[in-house]
Amino acid sequence: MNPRKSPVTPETPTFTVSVNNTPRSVSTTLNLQQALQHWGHDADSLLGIARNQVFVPRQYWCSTWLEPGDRIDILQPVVGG
Amino acid sequence: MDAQNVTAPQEDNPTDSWTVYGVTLQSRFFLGTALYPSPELMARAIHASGTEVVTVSLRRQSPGDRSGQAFWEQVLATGCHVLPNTAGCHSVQEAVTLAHMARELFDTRWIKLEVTGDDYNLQPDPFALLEAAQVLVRDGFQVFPYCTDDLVLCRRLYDAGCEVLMPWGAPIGSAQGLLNRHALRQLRERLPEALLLVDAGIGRPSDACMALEMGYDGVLLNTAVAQALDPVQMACAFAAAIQAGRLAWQGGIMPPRPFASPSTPTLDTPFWHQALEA
Repeated sequence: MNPRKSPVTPETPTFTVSVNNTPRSVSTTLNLQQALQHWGHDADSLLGIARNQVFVPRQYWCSTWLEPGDRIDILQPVVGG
Repeated sequence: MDAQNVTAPQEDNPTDSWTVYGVTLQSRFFLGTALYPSPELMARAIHASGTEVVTVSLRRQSPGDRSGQAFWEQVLATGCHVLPNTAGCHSVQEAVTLAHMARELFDTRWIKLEVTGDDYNLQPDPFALLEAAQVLVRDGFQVFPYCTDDLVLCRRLYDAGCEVLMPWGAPIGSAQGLLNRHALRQLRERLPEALLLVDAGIGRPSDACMALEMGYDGVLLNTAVAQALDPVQMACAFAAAIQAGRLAWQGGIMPPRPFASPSTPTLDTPFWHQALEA
């Protein structure tokens, strides 16, 4: 069991990552899927995630733990030519 | 080799279907989904065009934004195959990462590979494009590279496993038509086995018609329809032009001649008399 999977408390340490080029805080106890919800994204909708320009398949969101300074890109379908 | 002999008319295929990476299509018109005045007009234009393949893309999502889901449901409603692009990527790493994200989101191995080398004219970077194509083919993608009309680049892309090549007619969104017809004809003649689509720069239906007359297998366009005064009408016009060009190619266009040749029989022409001897 991952030692970071403990309940979130006001004293839970956080760190900063870049989410779509915007600085966002994230708790050390949250995995990527939980962090998405924390940042206001619906993890069940059509999303694609890259961490530091590397694709993170959906199946690994729950087992992906972020590091300070990570650059997260959260993408959705849009029109294109 | 004469371009007219690259493919023969298909008498055993009256519907003129063709196969792209194992998918059989009737239409030779690939259409983009961007720049329409409204989502409703986009859907109507897609329907009017008869296209079976539409292009889509991926962009960053703001918190709480659900527009991507709504757009995707509109695309699904068209019943078309989806060709995601990597527009906006400037490096191999960016393009490869975006392609992987698109494959998961859209559940397709197809990818329209774009790697921009110059931001002014959105010209593809040929070196990064080839490298990215090689990586993606190895990763199991079916790659549609947006490329220039350079013969050697296109041959390298084809040899890398790209069954489809999509050279530009002119810079994206410029509506300048087929700027280098000589190079495009050369591609058709020298790469008879490749599926060739002109992608980008088409402005008028006659541009698309000309591409098909040259033996191209199809065209991909977006702005010329989406930014027309009446996108639905223009989608119909392009569909008709593409069909006309294809039929003309199959019919075998006569080569031009530098002299006149009467079409009406000259034998027994009336009112013609030899001059009487004085």
